[in-house]
Amino acid sequence: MQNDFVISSLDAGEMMGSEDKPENKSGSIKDGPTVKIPVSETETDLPTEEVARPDTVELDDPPTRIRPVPATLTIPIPDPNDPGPESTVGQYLEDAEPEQTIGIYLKPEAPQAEETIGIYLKPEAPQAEETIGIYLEDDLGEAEKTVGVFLEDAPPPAEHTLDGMLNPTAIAASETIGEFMVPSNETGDGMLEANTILTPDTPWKGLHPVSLAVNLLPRAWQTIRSMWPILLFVLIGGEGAGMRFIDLFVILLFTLMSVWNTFIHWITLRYRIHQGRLEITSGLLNRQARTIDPIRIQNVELVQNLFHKWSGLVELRIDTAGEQNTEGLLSALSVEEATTLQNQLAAVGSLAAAGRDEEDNGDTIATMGIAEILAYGLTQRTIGTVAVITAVGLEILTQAGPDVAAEFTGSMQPTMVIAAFMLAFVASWAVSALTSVFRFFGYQMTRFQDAIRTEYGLTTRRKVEIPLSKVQLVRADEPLMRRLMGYGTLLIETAGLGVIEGQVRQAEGVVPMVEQPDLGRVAAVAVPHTDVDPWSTPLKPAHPRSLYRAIVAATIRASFLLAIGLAYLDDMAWIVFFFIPIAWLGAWLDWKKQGWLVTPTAVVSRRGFFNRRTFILSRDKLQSVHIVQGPFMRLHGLSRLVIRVAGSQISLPETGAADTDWLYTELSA
Amino acid sequence: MLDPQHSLRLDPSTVMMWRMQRFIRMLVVGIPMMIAIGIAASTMMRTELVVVAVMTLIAMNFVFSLFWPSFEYNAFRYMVREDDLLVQSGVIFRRWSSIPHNRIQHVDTRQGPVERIFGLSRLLVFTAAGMSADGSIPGLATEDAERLRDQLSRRGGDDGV
Repeated sequence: MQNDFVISSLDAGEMMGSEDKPENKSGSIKDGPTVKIPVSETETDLPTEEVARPDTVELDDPPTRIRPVPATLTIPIPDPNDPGPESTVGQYLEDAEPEQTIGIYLKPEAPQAEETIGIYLKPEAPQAEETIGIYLEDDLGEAEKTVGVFLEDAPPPAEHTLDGMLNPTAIAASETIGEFMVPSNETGDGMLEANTILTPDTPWKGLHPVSLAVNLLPRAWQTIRSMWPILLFVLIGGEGAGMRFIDLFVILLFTLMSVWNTFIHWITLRYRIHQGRLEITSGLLNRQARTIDPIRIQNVELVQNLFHKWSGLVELRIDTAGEQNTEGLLSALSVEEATTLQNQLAAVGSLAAAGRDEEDNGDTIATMGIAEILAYGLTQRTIGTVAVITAVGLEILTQAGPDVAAEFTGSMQPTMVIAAFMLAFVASWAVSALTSVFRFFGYQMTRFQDAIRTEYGLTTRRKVEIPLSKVQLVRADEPLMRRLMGYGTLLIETAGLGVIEGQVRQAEGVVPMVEQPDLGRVAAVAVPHTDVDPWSTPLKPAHPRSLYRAIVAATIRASFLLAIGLAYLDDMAWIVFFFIPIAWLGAWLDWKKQGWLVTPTAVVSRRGFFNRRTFILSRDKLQSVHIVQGPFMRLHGLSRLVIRVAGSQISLPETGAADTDWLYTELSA
Repeated sequence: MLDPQHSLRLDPSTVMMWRMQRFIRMLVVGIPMMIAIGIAASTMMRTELVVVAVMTLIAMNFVFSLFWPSFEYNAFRYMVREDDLLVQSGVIFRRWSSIPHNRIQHVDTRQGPVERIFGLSRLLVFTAAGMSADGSIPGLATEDAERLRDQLSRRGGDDGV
């Protein structure tokens, strides 16, 4: 440990509250405010400016390393009884070598018994901008203690120098000094960089008053949805006199409940940023407080439903990895407030919007015309919709009267059945096309320097912003129909895992229709650190022996259909014997289209003919690697590689056991 | 794939523990279920036939519970390397897992009642890749499990999320 210089002087032993970095505690941080820092007379002593350098500092390190200030250096701490709540102290130290600079900045400010201390280290190496910022904030009054460590573009030597003190978080090498600057209103020109690393605390804020009207109907719907069995029972179950009154009473009760809920939500919800974290409290009797660490935020979504649109408000949804998301919580805010909050969160966390210039409108990567949206709807899978429509149709028939239904089903000819199915198909296509128009109208995907934003929707306008650093993998879906039309769909998966009503939900960005020649380009936008385009590079095929396995499996599956067909079809039974060659053809096509590729930066896996999927994942996102081998695979000397990333897993096509072992070693290295 | 020279095996008493767990499961779940199915089936088939079938199934289950754990034990190996944790498991369906140290989010040790009798613990290794444990090592002596837990959870690094 070589970093026992500055921090030791700051009574920092207890500041290390960050639990994800236990190694922080192992640093040689000692208690005891033994050192004093002189109060500088001028406020212009900024660490980034070359002024007022005490000669006591001796640094003789190579410029790429940060070394502790020698033990002889004493940094006096200002007298705690020193008045001046806004007093700012700055000290600037610089070595004789012009390349290396260390600035220490201490600032005790006492708005409400809060003391903030910032340390900022910046060695300016000759070859590149290497910046390390450490920012410590100690809230002395409270039990809560926060330490923020900020590390930017740290080269390996610097990481070693810090010797485990800092989590060597991989930050893209493209980032440069100054991007972490908060677009803040409070930290003016006279303030220091260290100060700008953390978003300033904001006072408690509430929802927009109009949100009362905006939330009423959605909330009523929510109440009904959660209570529908009771409602159904009361409204339909009862017969006879007096029931009408009860019905009325129930409806009134539900309306009042919704109004009450909406009102309580609006009146009690408060949010603020405190010590770099977003705090949201709500509820009257059942108080709920949530603290969200911006670093954990996967993406921030601005959503507008119809009511939001009318009132010009937005809802802010925050996805965090592994925690519940905030659907409906921050509804509704004015656009300015939502944007401000988004920017503040982005500034602290690794969200992208922070460093974005005001003028940076991004590059439009993809848009969709109405014809493309319709084509997307028509090529959606329709089986499920057909089933639903058939069921609804039957239900209507039964409602119309048992006699009508019996007559209808009794008089049905096979041709009529087929016609009915055709009708259901056409109807489902229409429904699918219509829903996709509503969903994806005005689709636009924009690429900013370090984030992707998609915007779409007719009634509910969604704006999803995905920081590129959070993208786990990109999946391209090319179902046969869509492929024949020359299109594919791209899905951008992040690790925004949230469990809502027992279902695991993933934050996803979607590009519904991309022309085939463009797939590689758009995918490369989402995974910029990879260097592979699976649509122009030939992939490695699956092992030949896996074709054999696929054919055997297809035969077994077809045999089941064959048996069912033989049992139920009488004079048309010969049709079923076509199943087997069709299954073989399917297996061969499927096998033929499989492919994989492992490059120094990326893993690509492609599977499927009818519903072809291509996965591209950046190797630095890989969580764990597994080999799976079943008994028959062992017989054929095959095995399969499975790669897990946060939120999903992909498996490569079957490869020879030796190949898989090699890949395994390569990927787990 | 993991060579026996360098990889580690589970605690030998794991085999007995697994047997006991299987027997308990058989007593609590398996046998009552089979008897229930047998009673249901006896309305349709001859009673003697059903009794013989149920007895055979129970006997097979017993033999399986006796021998299978030792196969499982032999198939299981693990190894802590410089950069990752390697776990090999599975008798019929083989699985090799490699979990890089820097991707480990947290490590748990757990101990059920049967495990407590044998003084063994389970080690569960979690990464960001989902809710379940990615690599889990059953049947470690409790102090080994705790040592391994501390060893694995002490390393940090970029978690790639």
